[in-house]
Amino acid sequence: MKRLEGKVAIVTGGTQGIGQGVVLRFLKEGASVAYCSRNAKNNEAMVPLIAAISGAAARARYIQADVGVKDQIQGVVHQAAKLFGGVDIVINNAQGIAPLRAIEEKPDADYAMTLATGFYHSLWTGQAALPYMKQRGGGRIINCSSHWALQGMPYASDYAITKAANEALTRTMANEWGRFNVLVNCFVPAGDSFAYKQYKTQNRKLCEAIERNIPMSRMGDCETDIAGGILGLVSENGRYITGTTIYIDGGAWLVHPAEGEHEAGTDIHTGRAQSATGVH
Amino acid sequence: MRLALTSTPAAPNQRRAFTEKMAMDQLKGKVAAVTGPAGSTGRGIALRFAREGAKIALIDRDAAKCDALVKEIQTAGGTATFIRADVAAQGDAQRAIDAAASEYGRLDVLVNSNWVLRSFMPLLEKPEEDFKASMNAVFFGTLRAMRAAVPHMRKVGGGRIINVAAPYGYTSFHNIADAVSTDWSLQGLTRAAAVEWGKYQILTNLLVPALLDIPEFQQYRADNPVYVDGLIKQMPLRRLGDPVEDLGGAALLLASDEGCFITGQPIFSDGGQHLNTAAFKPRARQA
Repeated sequence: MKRLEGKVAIVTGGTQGIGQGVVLRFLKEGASVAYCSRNAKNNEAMVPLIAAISGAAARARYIQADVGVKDQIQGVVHQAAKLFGGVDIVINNAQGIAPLRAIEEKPDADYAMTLATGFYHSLWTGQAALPYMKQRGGGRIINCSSHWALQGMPYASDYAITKAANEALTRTMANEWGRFNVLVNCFVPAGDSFAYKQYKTQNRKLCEAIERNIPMSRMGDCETDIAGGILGLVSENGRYITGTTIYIDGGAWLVHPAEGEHEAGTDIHTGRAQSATGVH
Repeated sequence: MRLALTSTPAAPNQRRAFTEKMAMDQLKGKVAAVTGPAGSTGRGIALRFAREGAKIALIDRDAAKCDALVKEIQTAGGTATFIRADVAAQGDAQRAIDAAASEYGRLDVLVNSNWVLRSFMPLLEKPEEDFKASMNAVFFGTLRAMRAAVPHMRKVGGGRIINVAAPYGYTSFHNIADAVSTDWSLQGLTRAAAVEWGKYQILTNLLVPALLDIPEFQQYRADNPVYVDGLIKQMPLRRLGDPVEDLGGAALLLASDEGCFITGQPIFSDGGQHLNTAAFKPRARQA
């Protein structure tokens, strides 16, 4: 039997990488899924993937939105509720990423952008979704954190504080909304994400060393490994788990990085940036 | 067996599952060994795994309780067998795990639920024997069962090990220093196994419960009704955990395809209770 039959899920940043894996996995588990991204062109690749899942096309809806703009991302929640008759699950996966810079050089605008697309986006979707979840007798919210928050990754202070904020938000949401049976958790992935794949094309040797160093000797597959763990948190099995941060990372968080720091001033999507456990 | 929540107003949807429908075959074809199933946590997980299609080997000293559990599982259409053993005794865990794998032809999941609470007593007064008993049964029993399971799991390309902490054994609590110390040794063992056995696709986690609706907790609750009701009111989910549905559900997450990339961690299946550790103001009291 499918695990999310009759459920309505929202996935932000759903056209690539981990978000894409979650959308596809949830559709296969019977959920209706509204997913968004900033760039509508990125959805073109999703169409055949969704068409390949039997009966999924009618349960999937793409909505173009910038998660860093309150009206837009809250609009996604309201549209999803209207389309599918409610909201049960919100996966706050999207995150805008600024170039790596030393703290003393990082412009305020980078902090503002990273916080808006990471922390505020998680806050805004939660605020918008809560009334719908209360109507349905409960719900699940999943926020996203990162090893970089734990490690204090150099030159990514904006990213690290944003992810740490998501963890703290998760705990407070869990405390405040548990009485409504709304369960809130945070996940930390080590995923073979879109950004990591791009990064690996230019840093193959380093990435192979990183992967060897992970206890499970690989980056997580977005749909099988990362979305699998998220599915556990939003399915029946996760019904008593709330306020936690769970590492879906093959044990990467337990071991020391394979290589040292990345350099300041690089764009982590295209540059020579080096990460302990991958770029999400 | 369920405790009535008398003085705590029930959350409006406390017993209604988030999803009414339930997959019933998440462990189809798998074999799970459970050490300590005479206790309520191991029992709940065994019942849940059996419902999901796993064949269950119950490893314990307590024949009466386990025979009854085997019957209960079989009556519900499941498959289970009892292997009498004391995992704390040298050699017994190895024999029992080998027997479990031999009985059903493979071993995929090992659940260690051996927590013991011999006394509620302040750290200054607690006898060393309690610490020794706890370390021997819980830490060494778990260690021996885990090592015995690895060759069997490698034969089938991987496995899952779920070590179950005592309620509050991870977050800590007054008067159970033996359980807390032992559970942190279990956390260390869990991490070390995760790092070393990941390459065999063997995943190891620590499952952490808090307030469960189980007989072991009923006397404590009866002795401390106001305090326990206060704890429940602090919990995000405001209800006691059910050993089969709540704790068993989290164990299932870790044992099924959902948990295929999660290892080395404490997983709190506690209704969010761990968040409120800082707020605890318990009175020292003996059970």
